[in-house]
Parts: sequence; structure tokens; C-alpha cells
Amino acid sequence: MGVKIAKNRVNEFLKYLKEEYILYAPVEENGVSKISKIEDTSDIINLPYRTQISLKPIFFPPEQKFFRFEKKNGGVEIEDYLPQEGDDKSIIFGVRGCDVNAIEVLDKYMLDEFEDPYYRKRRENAIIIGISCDYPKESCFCTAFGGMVPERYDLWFTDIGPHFYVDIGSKRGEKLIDDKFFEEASEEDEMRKIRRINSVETKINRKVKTNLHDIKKYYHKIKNRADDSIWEELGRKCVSCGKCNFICPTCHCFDVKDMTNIDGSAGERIRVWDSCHLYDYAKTSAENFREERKARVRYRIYDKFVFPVMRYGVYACTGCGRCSEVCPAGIDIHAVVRRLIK
Amino acid sequence: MNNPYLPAVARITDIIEETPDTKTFVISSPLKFKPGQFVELSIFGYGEAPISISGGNEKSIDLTIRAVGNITKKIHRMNVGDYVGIRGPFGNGWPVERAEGRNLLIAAGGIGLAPLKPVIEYVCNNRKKFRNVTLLYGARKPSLMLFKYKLEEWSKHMDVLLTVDEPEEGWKGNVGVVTTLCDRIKHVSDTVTLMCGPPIMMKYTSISLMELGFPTGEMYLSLERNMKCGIGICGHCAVGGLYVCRDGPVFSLNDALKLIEKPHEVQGVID
Repeated sequence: MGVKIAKNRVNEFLKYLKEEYILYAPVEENGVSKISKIEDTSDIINLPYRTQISLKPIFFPPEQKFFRFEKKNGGVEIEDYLPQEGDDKSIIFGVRGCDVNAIEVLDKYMLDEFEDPYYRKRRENAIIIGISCDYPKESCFCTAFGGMVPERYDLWFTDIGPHFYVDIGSKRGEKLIDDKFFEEASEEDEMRKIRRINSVETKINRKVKTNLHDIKKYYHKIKNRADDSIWEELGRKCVSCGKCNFICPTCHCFDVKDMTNIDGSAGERIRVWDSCHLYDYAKTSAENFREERKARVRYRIYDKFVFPVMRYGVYACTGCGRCSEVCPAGIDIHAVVRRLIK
Repeated sequence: MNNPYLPAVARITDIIEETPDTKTFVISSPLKFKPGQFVELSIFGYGEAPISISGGNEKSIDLTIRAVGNITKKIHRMNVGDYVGIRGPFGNGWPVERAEGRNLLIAAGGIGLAPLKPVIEYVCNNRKKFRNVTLLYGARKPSLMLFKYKLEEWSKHMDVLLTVDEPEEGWKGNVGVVTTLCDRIKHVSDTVTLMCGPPIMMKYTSISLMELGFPTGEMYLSLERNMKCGIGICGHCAVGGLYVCRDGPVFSLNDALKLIEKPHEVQGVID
């Protein structure tokens, strides 16, 4: 049996968490909704659906400094920034299922076969408190992948009227349940929760009508369309701006650069987000291996629905729909996938 | 926590001028490496570039570098004693052990000879482990041939077949692309082929060798991609869902042909 928390106690609960943890929650800055570090809990906004910016920047910031170097005493001295990277305990509140699933995908890329220590430090001590959506955004299609409640979370909130029903998904989550704020939920509360989730998912499903749950089957279907004319068509449409990559909660490509002072005697090595849609992305000294735009468009779609399935057994798309929302050419990933699995 | 992005600082201890656009830098970095592996070379203030290891011993590694990009042009302007950074070694390397007791063909085009040089040196030092060995090497011009000072020694241990695209004064050897030499190789069956060169050279050499009956299951190609991290995360070297930095850079021709996103190096090899 789960627990529940009265809606008017949530703010108190977050204040209580903030005493021990760094708190992240949805806010709006300059008209853009995102998940940011909270100084004052009254800054938190109540959205009925996901934020415009995903969780990705919290764990994988657009710019990550690796180390500092200085040419000194005829040599080079290096100061590693990794030890300074904070491993403070954090709580991320108000996250939607698509974004929690996306973080699980990032975990595959950065903590599974290959390990990124900067990501690990930020990710390891982060507790996720997610929340069911009230209704979908225009571009949402999470139900194609299994729905809006992820498999793994620490706590999961669902609106059941005057209370949030709270599912406990982990030991770390359980430790946060303090009876100052939570009370035992009844069977009826649980039924309300289930009905609530079903009704929202039905709403999403009504327009989505795509079901990709059978990963093996659909990955094969999409894989077999490698030489399809759709890529030519999308290649003509796409403007190679890379917005879809940057907004995507699972895209994790980066470039490595040195930034120096004016005489080059000292500087920092940084990584910055990169995009597989950009012309130079696969360029080497010999040639550009994805010079044609259609090859780059196909690569990105395949790197969501085919390649990660081959390597990690998961799609790298969770149906958040952000890329469709920001695409200046109007390419809708959901529509593309529907065509590919026809 | 171990930081794989942190380079070890090393010095340039020697510079060998190979051709007008290529130099070999001896770097004071005592790395244990497998032939065919690469390192990420840092020039502080300029960035990193993936470079194949072309030789080495307990004290140093050799990097044979053509000046084509920012990092490689910069190192060409550096001197003995200057500092660089090294991360690695990365990649799987050549499956040299597969050729032991069998015939070996080493096919190189241009700068592609650099990652094969450690194999050639291994063969010279362990000649008895192999049966017939042939080195096939093509360069644009005789003056652009790498390791010319080594060829005489190498030819004591193996058949060395050379060709150039454009002859220059004094060149008495073959003129033409690498494929024009293929039918001069004296061993076809039971041959392991290790190949590195420009994409177009690897493609047509693969086709020629297949036509001659070389076993395709034993042909290996080293792919060049722009590895930025070397550890399977940054995405730049991905091809058909594999990471050239971790799953490669050496792939068997059969595996490369099976990739969904067929690498240019093998496009059209079987169609």
C-alpha cells in the first residue's frame, strides 16, 4: 500500500527536503519552463505536463569543464576539475515519466558499458520524485512506449483530488516518507490513482494510436527501411540546425575544445554539446562520412530506434515530443515513426 | 575517481621528417599498446586529435602525423622538448595473432602505413610465426612514401610491393593504384589481410582481393573516424550503431559489410 500527501502539505515537504538536499523543481525563466535549482520553494510552478527543457542539463550540462592547464616553469601543469565536481545529494521534484525514462537511457550511454565520471558524480546522488501528467502536450506520445509512469523512480506522485497518491519505488524514496507530511492511503485512494492514470493515458492514446512496445518487432521494421525514399524526403525538409539534438533528453554527443587566455599560456579543456545533424559532425581528414543531409537525418532517427536497441536493448526516444515542438522545418518524429512502422 | 578525459603530459623527444607533409614524433610516453591502437594527442590550447601509434618501446611511442587539421598542423610547428598530452591507448588493434601460422598480407595506402608499421615490425622480429608475408604499399608520389629508410630492412623479411600514382624522376617501380599490384601477390589462400588507407583505396583493394579469391572472412580494415572522446560516449565515431573507438578501429570486412549504415570504405564492395 502506498501513502498520500495532502496538496497543501507539499510545499512544506519540499522545504523540509531542501534543508538536507539540493532541490530541483520546475520553474519558468524568461518564458521557458525547465527544471532548476530552487532557492525559494514559491518559485516552483505547477504545470499539467512536462517542462520545455528536460532533465538532461542537470546531469549533462551544455558545457562541462574537464581540467585547467597552464604552461609553467617550462612544463605544463594540469588541474583536474573532477574532484571539485559536486556530489551533493539532490532531489529532483516534479519530473514527468518521459524524462525519467530518458535519464535511464542516458544511464545506459554513460554508466553502463562505458563510463563518464562527470555524469556519474551528478547522477549518483540524485533522488527522483516524479509526477503523473494531468493532460498531454500537443507533441506528447509517451504511451507509444508504455505510458507515463516509468518503471523506476524513487517516489511517484499522482493527483487524486485533495491529495497526491505517492508510490514508493526505492529504499531511498522510502526514507523520505515522514509522517509529518504523509498519511497512509486507502484502497479507494489507490483505485483513484489508477483511474486517474488510465484516464490521462487514454487521452494521450486517443491521438497517438502508435504502439511500439514490442521493441524487437519495431526495431526490425525500422531497420529494414534503411534505403527507403523517406530519408530523401526528410533530408530535403531538414535544415540541419541541430535543435532536435539539443532539446532531446537522450542526445548526448559532445565536442571537446580548448579555451585559452589571450596568449595561450593557460586555458581549460571543455566539452560542449554537439549535434549529429551538423555538416561537420562526421568529418575526418579523409572525408565527410555523412555529407548528405539525408544520411544525417536517418542517422538520428536510427540512433533513437535502432542502434540503441542493438547495443542496450532500449529505444533512445521516450515520446516527450520536444524535437517535434522545436523543429523549424516541422518534422514530427512521431509521424516519421508511424510511417516507418507501417 | 579515475578521469579518462585527463591526458598524461609528455614531451616530444625526437622528430623525424618523413615527407614534406608528414613527420614522426617520438613522444616520451611509456604506453603498452597493441599494433593498430590509437591515442588522443593533446596540444594544450588547441585541443585533441586521434592519432594511430606507429611504433614504440618501453620509454616512448611514435606518432606519424600528416599536417591536415588544426592539431596536426600545430604539432608540425613544434620542437623537440615541447609538451603534449596523451590519452590512451584506445581501440581493439589488429588481430595479428590470427595470421600466425598462416600467410599475411599488409595493404597500405598513404598515411595508412603508419598504424600498420607496428605489425610489420612485429613480423620482422617474429618472422618464423608467419608463412608468406607481403607488404603492399601505395603512395601518391615517391617523395610522399613513408618510412623509406625502413623498406630495405623490411624487404629482407617479406615481399615488398610498392606503387605510386604519379612517378617522379628516378622512380623505377610500379605506377598505378594499389589494386594494380594485387595479382602479384604470391599467396592467395589462407591469407589474413590487414588493410589501412583512404576509403577509396580500401574499397577497391577489397574488391580486387575478393576477385582474386582472398578469403573475405580474414580481411580486416582500420576505419578512420573523428574520435573526440575515445571511450565510446561522444558519438562522433559511431557507424551503424558501433563505436569505431571501442568496437574498432579494426573491423573485419564481413562485419563492416553487415552494418546498417554501410561505411564508405566498403560501399559497393558487394552489390
